[in-house]
Amino acid sequence: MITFDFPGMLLFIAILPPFIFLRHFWKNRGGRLSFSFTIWQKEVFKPGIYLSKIILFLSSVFFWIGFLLLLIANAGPSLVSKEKIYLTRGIDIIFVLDESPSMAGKDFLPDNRFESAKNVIKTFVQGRDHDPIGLVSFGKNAVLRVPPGLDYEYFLEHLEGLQLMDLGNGTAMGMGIAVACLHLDKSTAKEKVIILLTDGDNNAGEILPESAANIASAMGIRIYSVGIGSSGEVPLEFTDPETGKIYRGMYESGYNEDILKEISEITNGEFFQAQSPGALGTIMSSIDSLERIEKRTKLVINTKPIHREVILIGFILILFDFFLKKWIFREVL
Amino acid sequence: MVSRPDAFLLFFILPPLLFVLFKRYKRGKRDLTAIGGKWRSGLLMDVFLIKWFFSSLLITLFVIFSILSLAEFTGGGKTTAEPSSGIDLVFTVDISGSMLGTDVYPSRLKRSTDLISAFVENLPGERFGLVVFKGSGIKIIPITEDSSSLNTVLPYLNPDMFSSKGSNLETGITTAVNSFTSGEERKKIVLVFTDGESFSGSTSLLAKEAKMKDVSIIIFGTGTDQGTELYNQSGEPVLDNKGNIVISRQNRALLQELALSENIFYLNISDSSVLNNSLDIINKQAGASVINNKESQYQFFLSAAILFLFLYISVRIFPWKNTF
Repeated sequence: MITFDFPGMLLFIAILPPFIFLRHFWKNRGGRLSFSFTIWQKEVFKPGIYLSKIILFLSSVFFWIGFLLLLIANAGPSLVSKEKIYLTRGIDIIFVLDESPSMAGKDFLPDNRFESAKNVIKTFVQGRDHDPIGLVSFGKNAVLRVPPGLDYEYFLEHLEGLQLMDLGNGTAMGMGIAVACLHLDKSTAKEKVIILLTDGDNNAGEILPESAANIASAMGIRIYSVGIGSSGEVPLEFTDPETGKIYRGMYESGYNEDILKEISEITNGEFFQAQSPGALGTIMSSIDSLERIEKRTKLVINTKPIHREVILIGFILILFDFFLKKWIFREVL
Repeated sequence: MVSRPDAFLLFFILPPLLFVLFKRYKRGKRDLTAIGGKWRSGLLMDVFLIKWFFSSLLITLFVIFSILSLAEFTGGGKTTAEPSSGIDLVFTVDISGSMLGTDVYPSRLKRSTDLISAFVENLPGERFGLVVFKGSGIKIIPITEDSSSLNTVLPYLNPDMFSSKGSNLETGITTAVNSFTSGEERKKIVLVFTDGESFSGSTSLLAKEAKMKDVSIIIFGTGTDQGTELYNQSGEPVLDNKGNIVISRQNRALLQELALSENIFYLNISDSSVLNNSLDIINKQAGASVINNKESQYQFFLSAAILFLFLYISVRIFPWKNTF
């Protein structure tokens, strides 16, 4: 958007039309000289060439546009942009996502559990505003994929890139929580939250989920645990990222509800059961609404003066007209 | 004070302008004598001389005052200082092969990562990001408070991380400048670690872009002027096309040239006081973001230029002494 520091100056533009009339259409205008052919005593002028008339016309148009630009520049034009500045610190959120092969369970149609989880995380992140979000994933091991930050684009890119069984066959839930805690250690946020999404029981890693939950509790971190999947036999299909081999089969599904409940209780969080993609979506939106804090913002208006650019263009247009008429067309006055 | 002295270069327009004006005067005089006839040549010459003189004077004044308005004279006004609410630092590390040069102990790359660790230690509570570059720039760690993720990655930086060839400082810095997040009034600083060798990309627009986005850049030049041989993985020296041993040096001239702009600084990583000097710069940059509210006085000059232009047209429009 363009604003003017001195909009009153724009009134001077009204002088242009009369001047254009006087300069080009007024019958008594100066700059023309009538004379007698008798005195001239030379050949009669040839009619003007069509092309040169067009060029002269365009040149005059350039001149008046240049003039208009100078008048506009004199009113102090500025480009205005608004920026929202957050005065309060958001909530730090780290997702801890299970990457074990059982997440390929096909009871979350049309995708599997893993893809559904990725989708709801994506929706969740897109709905947040200025809360640093990080990502930890675990299989047999646990690693930090994205440190908590505001670069949502980077987060979503790396979430999309997650693959089942990238971290081996296993469910190191305790390790996942511990890694998330480690990376929230330097956080200055008042509210820190871990959202754990898993479909299995802790069966790998050196740290027990309960111990990890105690660490989190001591650090003031809340853990929301979400158990994914229906119980009973579930069809399963996934591709091993190392060998490219496709595995299919049936699998006796079930997560350890007691542990998940306990983790949430220790840390003042909540435990949820998601048996369908719809339920998972609902759970995420309720966590989303639970973890909201009031945000104070201010609107900063940035103005960037552009008069210099405008003057320069106008100046060049006018000089172009001047040199074309005086140099090429040899206009005397 | 003149804030845009480059506008004065436009004064080079004046000689051709005056040249054309005098040429037209001569030509006009000749033509008028030819077509006016002797009986009224006196009157015509008077009018022509006066009209020519004033229109030439006015167009010249128009040009001079337009240029003065472009030069942006500033005066008065006030300078306010606003403390920023923290610092975001993006470390930008050159991981091209030449960074393995050992003319800086233990190697250019290792010295760089050691210095980064020192920054993280000395600037608690700030936020950090990491970008590496060879032929292209890649964001390894987005801006985060979590400095432990940075410490985890640092030991693994090496030229084999990415297959792209070369050392494109420009894309490295551009990636870094664009990795800052919006919505906060934090000071943005990019710390670049490079030897400036086998340079590709253009740097002329970098300073401008950084300034526009309010980003300061500190460049740490790695390597010595004497240079060193480079060795490949099997321990043999790297040879060029002609079979000569490649000597890699710090391209100090290029890096110092970059630092000519006011928001870009250059330091040599081999200086013993490099950490303290750079912390000084960082704190100075972060302490107060100075906002210059100095009013430009271009309007005075521009109004005068516009007035002269109106008069210039008027001289031609209005006939004088019933002639032309």
